[in-house]
Amino acid sequence: MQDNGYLDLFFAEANEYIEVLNNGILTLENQPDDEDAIAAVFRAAHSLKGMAAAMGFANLTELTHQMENKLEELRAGKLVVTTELIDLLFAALDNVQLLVKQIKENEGEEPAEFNFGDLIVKLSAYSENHEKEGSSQKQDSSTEKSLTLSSEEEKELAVEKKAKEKIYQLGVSIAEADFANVRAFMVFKKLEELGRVFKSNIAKAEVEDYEEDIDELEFYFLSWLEKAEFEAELEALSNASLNYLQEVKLQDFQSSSERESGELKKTNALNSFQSNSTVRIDIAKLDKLINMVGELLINKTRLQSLNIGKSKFNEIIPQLDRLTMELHHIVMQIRMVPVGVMFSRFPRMLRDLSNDMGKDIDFIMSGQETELDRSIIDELADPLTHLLRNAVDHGIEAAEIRKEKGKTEQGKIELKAYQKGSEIIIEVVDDGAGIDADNIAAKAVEKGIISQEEVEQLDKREILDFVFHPGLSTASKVTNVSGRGVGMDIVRNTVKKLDGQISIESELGKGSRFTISLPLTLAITQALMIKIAGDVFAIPINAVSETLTMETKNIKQLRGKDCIVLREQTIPLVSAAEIFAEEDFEAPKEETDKLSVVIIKNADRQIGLIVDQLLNQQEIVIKSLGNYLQDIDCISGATIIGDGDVALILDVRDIIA
Amino acid sequence: MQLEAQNIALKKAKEDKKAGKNQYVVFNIAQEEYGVEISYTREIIKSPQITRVPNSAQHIIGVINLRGIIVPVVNLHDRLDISEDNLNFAEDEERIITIEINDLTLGLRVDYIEGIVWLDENKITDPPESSDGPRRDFLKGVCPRNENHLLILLDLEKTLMYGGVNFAD
Repeated sequence: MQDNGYLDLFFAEANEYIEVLNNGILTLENQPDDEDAIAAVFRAAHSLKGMAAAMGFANLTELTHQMENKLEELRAGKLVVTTELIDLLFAALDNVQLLVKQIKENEGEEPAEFNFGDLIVKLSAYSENHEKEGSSQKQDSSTEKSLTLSSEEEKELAVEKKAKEKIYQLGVSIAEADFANVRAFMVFKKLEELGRVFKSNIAKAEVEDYEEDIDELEFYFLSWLEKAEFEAELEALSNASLNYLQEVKLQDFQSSSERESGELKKTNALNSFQSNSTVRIDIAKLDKLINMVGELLINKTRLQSLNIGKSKFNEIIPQLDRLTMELHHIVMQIRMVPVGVMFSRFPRMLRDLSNDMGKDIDFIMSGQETELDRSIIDELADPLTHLLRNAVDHGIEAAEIRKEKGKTEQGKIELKAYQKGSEIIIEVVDDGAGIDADNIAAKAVEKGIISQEEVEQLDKREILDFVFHPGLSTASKVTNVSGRGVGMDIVRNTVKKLDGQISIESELGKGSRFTISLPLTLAITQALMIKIAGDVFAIPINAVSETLTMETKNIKQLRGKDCIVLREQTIPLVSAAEIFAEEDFEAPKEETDKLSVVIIKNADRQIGLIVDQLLNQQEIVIKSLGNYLQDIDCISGATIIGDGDVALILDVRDIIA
Repeated sequence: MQLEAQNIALKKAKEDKKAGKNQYVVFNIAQEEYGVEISYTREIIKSPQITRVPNSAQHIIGVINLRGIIVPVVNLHDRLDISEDNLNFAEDEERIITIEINDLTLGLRVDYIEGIVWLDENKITDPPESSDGPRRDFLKGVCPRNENHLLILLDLEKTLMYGGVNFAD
């Protein structure tokens, strides 16, 4: 009977790896070239072997070792995926699963006898007949690689590497001896557009004055690009030709050092397992943790409002405040993922789309490192896909038309992410045809969404907003890329569901810009507390431009509606009580000539909301009203305030719409 | 010992269930007795501060904070079309029964709680035709409580169904 703590860990991890292997091998069956899948199954087999060895399960170690060997050969390109190999791997995996199960039933001991049949023999014999034919010299030419990293550099690289960056090792030879220095310099310049050089055999600064012949440049390189894209970019180099390109994984460094030190020792295996400084967490557990931190924050606020005049109390509260804030911060950090994780799928999509449609498009991404809450990122992929497809399909014109209009023949689409205050902004910008507001207006009238008279009252921005109206698609021709007329509606709904906003700017003939702004996180936010018709409400601070007190006599009239003129800008005024008070609610008859106004904003629109009273600004934990109260107009959720009561959160978008 | 007693009680409950008996929470609204199956109910609490939700359905009084969860509270008078004339408004007796139904937690506000009774499912009959009673389509049936009055049993799924929320799915 072994130590239970280790055993539990072993079973939990083993099952996880078995799942990874299962999914990975399945993927390989369908996509034999999927390098990510190969890397994933290799890692899983490697880790499983390490664990089995550490626990002293000889049979399991042997079996996983054989699997790992085959996978390693696969990864190095020495083997190709065949049905036979897949079958063997699955058979091995089934045995692994069976063994783990038996170990569990056997109270942590491997069964005395376990019959693999000829599986091990078959596995180890497999490679001999199926060496990849003429496996490409580029990949096999490891002897050519003279540039290596010291172990310090490996560590440095591990630190330097950002989450979604890939490490490549590559070598290029300079095309011609004439101006070799300049050519080499151009290679550096091109590479710097694609990522970051970590190490090269000749430093960039030395290139210009390099006396000897430069025939080969070798690099360790960090890039967001997938290997295929990277390779395509490199092959387009006119000054040099690519000798080899290989993706290097951080764990390759580990496994290479393991190989050097010979047979893997049991204790080492456990160490390497523990030295992995990241853990995977069930998202449900994380959500629970966040909820609990939320509760803690609420209770902290309640405690603060007790206002006990004791000095000890006054001493403890700021401490508690700091601790809860830090805790909150850390928990939120755990959920943050760089948007590059999601963006990485787009270059490929854009390339395929523009090829399909015969358009030449320069696709530029920036801000991939910008971090967003994981749950937001997951939801955001579809809307962005739709916006980008639209930009290719309806935005960028055909090359001839662009030429006629005096634009560059190559169209440009940009996808940008950046942080602005407490919001994350994602923009899709194209320099294409732009959106014809008159056309949209005509369509909206034609479909009966709005009357001709009403449309004439609207400004351009309000008309462009009809693009998001369900059932209004401006594509005169329905293509299979876009133009089903439901897309933009769904885009807006998804963004809205994430508590975000989307707006359009477009100039006919010059291009369009879609701006999505999103809260940093969904769970906790700063809010302005106000009183309307006797009840307390919260307005998320990112929707508030400013608060002010005004005199009733300063209310202006514009087209029969109340307005306020603020720094030469006319802002409509709305009484919150009219939206939120009960029908029979009677405002206390205090004749006052002072009004409290909160200027709220949605995208670039503003409204002055007249409230009873401005209270304070505080941190609130956003809670859902649940499924029973769905789509309540002008209310987006609720929060619990200091006295334990519920305060509702205003939905600024509904109020302004 | 206590555990044993509990086990015996549980056993009895199971046997009773087999024999067609069920427990009902009985409460009073506007001088009428109503019952709901105990299996839906979670707890009975004194009414905390209820926050009104503007623009919500007529029968939603508002929301309460139930240990950090936002729970909507339903006004049964409104839902059942009971005239408010006979409302017995003694605030200290007013209670909220929290129920769990199809993964939703809801509160039912009632005038006061009478208690818990065992009812024989076989004795439940269709509600009598009458014009001034609660809406018939929300009722599961009626059951004689004693000689002179009937206990009205609510079909909670129907009573609470509205708008996009349909528990029949």
